[in-house]
Amino acid sequence: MSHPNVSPRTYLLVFGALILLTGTTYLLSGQHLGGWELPMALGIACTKTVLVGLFFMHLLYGSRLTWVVVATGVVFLGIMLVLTMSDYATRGWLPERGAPQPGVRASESVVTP
Amino acid sequence: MWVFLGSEVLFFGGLFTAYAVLRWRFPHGFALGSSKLSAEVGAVNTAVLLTSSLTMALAVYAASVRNKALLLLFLALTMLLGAGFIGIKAWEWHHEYVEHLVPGAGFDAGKGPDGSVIDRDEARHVEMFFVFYFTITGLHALHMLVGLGVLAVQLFLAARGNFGIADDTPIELAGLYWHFVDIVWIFVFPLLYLLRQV
Repeated sequence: MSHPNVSPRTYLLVFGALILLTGTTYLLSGQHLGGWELPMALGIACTKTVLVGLFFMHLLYGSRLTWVVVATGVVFLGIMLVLTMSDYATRGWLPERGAPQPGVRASESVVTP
Repeated sequence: MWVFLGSEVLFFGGLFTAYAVLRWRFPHGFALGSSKLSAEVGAVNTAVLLTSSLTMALAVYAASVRNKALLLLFLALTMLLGAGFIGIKAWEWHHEYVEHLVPGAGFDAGKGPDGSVIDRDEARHVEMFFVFYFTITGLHALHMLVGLGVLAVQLFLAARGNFGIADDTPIELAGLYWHFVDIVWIFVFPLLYLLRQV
């Protein structure tokens, strides 16, 4: 294990930023952001994750092997999310031939939020 | 440890993916479900957990500079804050139990945030939201309990001898796990509590 010498001051600054971001995302949820609601909430969550990972978990000072493992986790999570949603989100885009899919009507699967 | 955390990403990732699919399908019911939770309590609990991550990082720091008194202090503080988080969560669960929001025969979706009536189909979607809510927060709390157990053992060993001071790797690894569980909550909080725009 590497032993980076991160000062408590850095930790306190990162902690301050995390609390600030939490407050921001909480206040934003009360506004009517429309289509921006999800991207804003997830963007802030991702920023917080990067802060925790880089500083609290010492990724900033981590070895390349650690980065490869982290990247693998993120990439596979991305594959799972993107491929799954690209299926569910696009159902009903094309006219169906033959029997309709069980349980899903074409008119139902196009969701307009 | 990182490889284990990588597998944990996919464990929680699977839950979040299932949640995303159903939220996509029933956006209205899920937003209604979110609006039934208290964003204030969720935000406070997020702050408690973030503070515990700070004290955990400071415990790792104390171990790396071989300061036993500080290490014991910050390990104890982290446990205290972690227990506080679970306490607040348990209080929330109890509140939801009283409000008939636990999925099952006794489930009652109640009324919308503006007092509107929720019809039968919509109520099923709100119930679906709460299935995810209890599964995800429950599994997260289980991870917290495991973390608390690890910290309790480390605190005990560190108080008895020079555990953590002679070699700070175990403290560092416990810290990684603790921060990971924090990161899971960083996503749970907005996804379950904040997306309430009906």
